[in-house]
Amino acid sequence: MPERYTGAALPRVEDAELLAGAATFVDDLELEGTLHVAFARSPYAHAGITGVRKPGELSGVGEVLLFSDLSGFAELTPRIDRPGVYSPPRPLLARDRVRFVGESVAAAVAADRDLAEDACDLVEVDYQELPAVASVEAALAAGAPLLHPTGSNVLLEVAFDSGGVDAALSAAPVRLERRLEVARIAPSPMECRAVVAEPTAEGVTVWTSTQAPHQVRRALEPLLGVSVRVICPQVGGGFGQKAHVYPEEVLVAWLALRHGRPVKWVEDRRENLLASSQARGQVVSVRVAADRDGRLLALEADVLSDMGAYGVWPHGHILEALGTPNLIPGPYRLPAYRYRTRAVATNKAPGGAYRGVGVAVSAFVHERVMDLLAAELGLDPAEVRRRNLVPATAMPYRTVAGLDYDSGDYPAALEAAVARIEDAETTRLREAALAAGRRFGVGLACYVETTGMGSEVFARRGMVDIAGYDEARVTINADGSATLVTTLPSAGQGLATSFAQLLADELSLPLAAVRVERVDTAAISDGTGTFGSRSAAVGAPVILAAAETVRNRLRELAAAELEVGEWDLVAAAGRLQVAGVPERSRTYAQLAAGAPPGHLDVRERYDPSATAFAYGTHACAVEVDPGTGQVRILRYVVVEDSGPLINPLLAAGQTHGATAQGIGAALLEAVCYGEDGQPLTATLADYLLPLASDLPTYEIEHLAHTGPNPGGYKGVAEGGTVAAPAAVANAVARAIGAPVDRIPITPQTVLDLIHKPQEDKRSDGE
Amino acid sequence: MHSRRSISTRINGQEVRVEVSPRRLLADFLRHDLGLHGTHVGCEQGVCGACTVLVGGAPVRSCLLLAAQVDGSEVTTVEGLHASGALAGLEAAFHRHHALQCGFCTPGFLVSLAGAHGLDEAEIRERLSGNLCRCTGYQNIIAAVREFAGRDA
Repeated sequence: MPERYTGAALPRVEDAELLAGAATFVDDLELEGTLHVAFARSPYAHAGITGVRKPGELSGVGEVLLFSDLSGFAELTPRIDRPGVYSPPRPLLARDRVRFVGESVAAAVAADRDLAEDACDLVEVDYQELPAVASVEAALAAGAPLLHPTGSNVLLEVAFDSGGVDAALSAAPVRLERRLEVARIAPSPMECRAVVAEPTAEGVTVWTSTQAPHQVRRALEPLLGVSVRVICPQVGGGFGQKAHVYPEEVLVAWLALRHGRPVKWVEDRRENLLASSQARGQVVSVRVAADRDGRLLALEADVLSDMGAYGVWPHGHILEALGTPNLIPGPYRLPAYRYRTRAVATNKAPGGAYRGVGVAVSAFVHERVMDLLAAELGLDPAEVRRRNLVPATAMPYRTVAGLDYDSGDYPAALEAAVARIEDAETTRLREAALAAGRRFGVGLACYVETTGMGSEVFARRGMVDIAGYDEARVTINADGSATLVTTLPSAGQGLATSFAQLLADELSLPLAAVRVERVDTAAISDGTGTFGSRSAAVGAPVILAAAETVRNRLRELAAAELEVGEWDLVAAAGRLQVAGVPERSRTYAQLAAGAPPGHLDVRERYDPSATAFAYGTHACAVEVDPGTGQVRILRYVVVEDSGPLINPLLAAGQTHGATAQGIGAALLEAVCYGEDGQPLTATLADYLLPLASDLPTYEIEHLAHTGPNPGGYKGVAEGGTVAAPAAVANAVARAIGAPVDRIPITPQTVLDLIHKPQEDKRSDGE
Repeated sequence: MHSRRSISTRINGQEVRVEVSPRRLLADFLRHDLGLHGTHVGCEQGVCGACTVLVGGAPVRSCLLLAAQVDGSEVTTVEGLHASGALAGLEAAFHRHHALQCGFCTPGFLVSLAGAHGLDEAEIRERLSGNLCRCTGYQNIIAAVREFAGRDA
């Protein structure tokens, strides 16, 4: 038993059953008498529905449902409490109009999935095709077809002005303008979404592959009018896509009640790529003013976010539209700032959360701006950053946009990353690349990101159905072991290990005597879920709080039984003993036996009043083949501050995975639609996820400045998706000597940039 | 569509003689008819590799085969490899190196890697490029494979 589990790089307790293929994901549940659901989905991006005919009797098919069959409820519409915001109603099945390819028009219930799909194929729908809008530009054009009865496709518009921007922009010695674009991303967990529902005496039990089981319950109960229990089995990745509640979850639960039998729906990849939430899809136009030394004086940003056809429950359609402008100042001192941000409806799948919400695009913007300033002034990109970063002495720091950066040393992260990448190995790689006729470049990206937001932040955004707090329940069992259940499910993060490490230390128990249960709404009352880097930043404080309450009760009980003061007791391996007299002790099992019922079963809630800002710097070296446009990442350095690490092995795993996803966004990933709104990337052969052969090895260094929450933990899992797109784009820009304004940087983009004359000759270039 | 076809196959060393629907995918047959849930279905498009099983000792995508096509063949799933101990070293290396996170893709990786040996890093990356993992960025998978099946292992 190490002195402390917390901080130790321990392998995970949950691995064994996963490695044996014995873990239970939703589709592995085979409840007796299960009916299967399939959905008939729109082949049109935008169409009116003038008639629908169900198929006749089919052997093995229970029923086919249309919008008109839904009684008592019809929509799953996120409630956004913000003046002037229209949250478009989301029908559970299309009523008289479809707004994206993949929107469900009918649902079929049958003895097996094949039969349910057969029934869907036989549903006849009379579509009257309408002109579609497949880009934000098309959606904003005069006379554009409108998706919703709002007079405009702009469903959120927010403006901010600190003052002083015009003066700086007109008088500054250095000015630049850029239009930067980030493609739509499909979060792509390897397990698609999946739901099983079973009717019970009290209502319905729902097993769903989700990041937010309590939010699923919050969405379903008012619609179904019965008690809903949500159980979160093994979840095969989420990355934000499973932070939302979807129409299928409501319909499957309702069908279970309607048929009095278990009902299952497992999304297939095509459905996932057509109809589950996507993210990014933003265009940011910036105007920047700086002084002759490259110090920022002012920045103006016009942010356009492609929200798709609907919002997502409960976040609405405003996630990235609000998140991106907030963080465009990044880790830099910016004296004057003005922005306008708009969420624009298009005939595409709903836009939702994806790892690094909002911040990934703001980092792409502020980091391209830094490199463009460096090129303009002939300065080293690291030097421009040095001159602009918020210094450690200025912490805590309120930004021009009103965010309170809590802690850290941003320049230290930059210097550590620069020191690592600017070494003999990089020199050797550069010489080898150039000798082989390839281009070579090093790119930097500094970032700061919001982690672990509380109820006040969500309320301010208008996301009134997000709790913002989370809960932990700690129970001392009869055998003296401890059980923990929280409202934060694991979708691969390893919380059964990292949470157990925290609790074992707090209760002085061996790790094997602490069990972390999967999340079940019947076991713990209410919370938010695992998204927005909550599990460490919010989960750790609430676990520490529950542990402290239970520990105090154990001490009270032991002090009474041993007839000593609590201050005379020391804890050791599941027992409390009188200091210096180890034979006078009580085990937790003995104390549990003597405790009043429920006394050692403790629940606590934590609602962070301050956001923990994680930050860091990424640096990478790339080579570009000027003949093929192929980009290869030769080195990748990450220096980040996520506060103290609960488990460095798991934290590094989060950094690897997030950075790989960020590299995917930089070089490969784009959800593509034709001008008619037809999706062009409906398979994983078309939507390209990074492979082992595409990726570098990561060199990671951690700084550990404590954050504002008890324990000082900050989120660790999003920095990679935030910084990598910018770091790679900057490296490619330096390698080819041309500005990269758009990601992903495909080989064709590279060739175009190399071979086409640039309007703007003030390009990056090494 | 409803005519059934009888097949005879060995699955994880056991004789299986059953009637299947001609359109039953091998992946669905293994998972839902035989309860071998370790074979995961990630795309049904033949890309992600999560459903990889061995047919006649060779790795195949069970989402691209019909159950009827394995008539007369020998099929081995992750459960079979696990039970035989064939994966013990690789499983231990995956555990030590934190080479799995959500674990959904993991059985496909393990089956694809069964029998791998003597690989350098480039060969390992190439060998892994038929399996998608969205969680790990592959780095720890590569470390695990290097330890278990690397050139110096």
